[in-house]
Amino acid sequence: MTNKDAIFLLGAFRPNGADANDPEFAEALARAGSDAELKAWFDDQRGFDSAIAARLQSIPAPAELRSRILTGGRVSRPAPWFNPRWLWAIAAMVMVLAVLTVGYEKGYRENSRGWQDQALASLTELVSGEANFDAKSPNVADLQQWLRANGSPTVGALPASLRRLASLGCKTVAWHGRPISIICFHGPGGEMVHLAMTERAGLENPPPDGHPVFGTKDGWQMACWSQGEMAMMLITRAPADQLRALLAVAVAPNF
Amino acid sequence: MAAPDFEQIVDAYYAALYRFALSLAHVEAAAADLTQQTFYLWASRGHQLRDASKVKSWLFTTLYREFLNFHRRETRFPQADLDAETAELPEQTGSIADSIDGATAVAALQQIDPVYRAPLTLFYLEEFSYREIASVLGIPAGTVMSRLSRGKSLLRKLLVEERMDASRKIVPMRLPRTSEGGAS
Repeated sequence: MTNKDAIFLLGAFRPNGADANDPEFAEALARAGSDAELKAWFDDQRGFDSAIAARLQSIPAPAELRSRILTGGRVSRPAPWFNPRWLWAIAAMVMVLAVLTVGYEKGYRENSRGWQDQALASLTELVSGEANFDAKSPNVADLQQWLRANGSPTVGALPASLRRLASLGCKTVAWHGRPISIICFHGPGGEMVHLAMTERAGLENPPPDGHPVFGTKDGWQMACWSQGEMAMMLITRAPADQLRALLAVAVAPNF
Repeated sequence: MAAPDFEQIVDAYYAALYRFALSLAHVEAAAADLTQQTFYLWASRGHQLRDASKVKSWLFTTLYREFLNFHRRETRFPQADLDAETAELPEQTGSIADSIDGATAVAALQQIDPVYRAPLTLFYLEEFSYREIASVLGIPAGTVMSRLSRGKSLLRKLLVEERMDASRKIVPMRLPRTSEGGAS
């Protein structure tokens, strides 16, 4: 081992001595103990490192940060039924309930647009501030990457008119175990525009390919269509003609 | 041993995570957001981690990934010449660090390319060995050593320049003229 090798290794030796027992450093430390020039460098290096480490570690976190994390964490934590002690009991209950409700469930899926209703309900919570985004970014590509990384549904390529809008954030919600992704945008006319997506497979009545179906509910203007493997819904408080104008650009090139 | 609860984990790591986030994100509000987001992800997914001893690594890795997710596209990291390491004993500059405060240290760190800044900050937080830093950042251990070496050289250079700039700002006070002949 040369002094150059020892310098390279000892540069990763923590100034608080936490690596003193790491055999990777043993030879370099021994050399620093016997070579005067290397020892002088090492002493100087540790002095420098100790000073920087002390300065960095003296920076206080904002006073309110801890309480914010704890408050937010309580909201984000999964329900206590993740506790293994309850899992067996819950599994048994689920079996019984599944048998009892399978008929109702089938009818519900066939006769309702449940995922859209769930998306609207979640959207209302987001807009009112009762719920928070899972991720925030003005760049929708970042949000799509976040959704993919977290196993949430999203299309490969968003319609061009939506890619041009600045995004606010995204959230994943679940409807009967089916994930629904919601991305919120600043709309061109000032009102926000929201895109909800879920996998088309398994939906009893998926929206049609290429022909958006328009509707209104609770003051929301909605349009639903399918794009590849995804069922999509665009939602806004803006007037219907603005939604149609957005979709005229958004959907037409894809069909 | 019982797994630590959420509050214990927050108390153990939130300050160090915030300092790491601050060195990455530059802005206090963004650093606080990154720290909060990391703990929210822990709150919703932490139960999936089987090994309680890996909580710290999970938190720092997640924070780093969150940072990259939002900033990698905007700021392409320039390719660094990792072979340009110090070939001989570097200049001894330990006393420079004694004369700076925490804000100056962070400001200097923030001027360093993120490629070096992330491992350097984790090193100075002293929470992780170089092997653990490699795991957190997803790079080989040898690369961590290279980046620490290069990063420290850059940090020293910046601090020397900082001190020289500060000394230039010291303007000698002009003394009032005294009349040699006295009042006439």
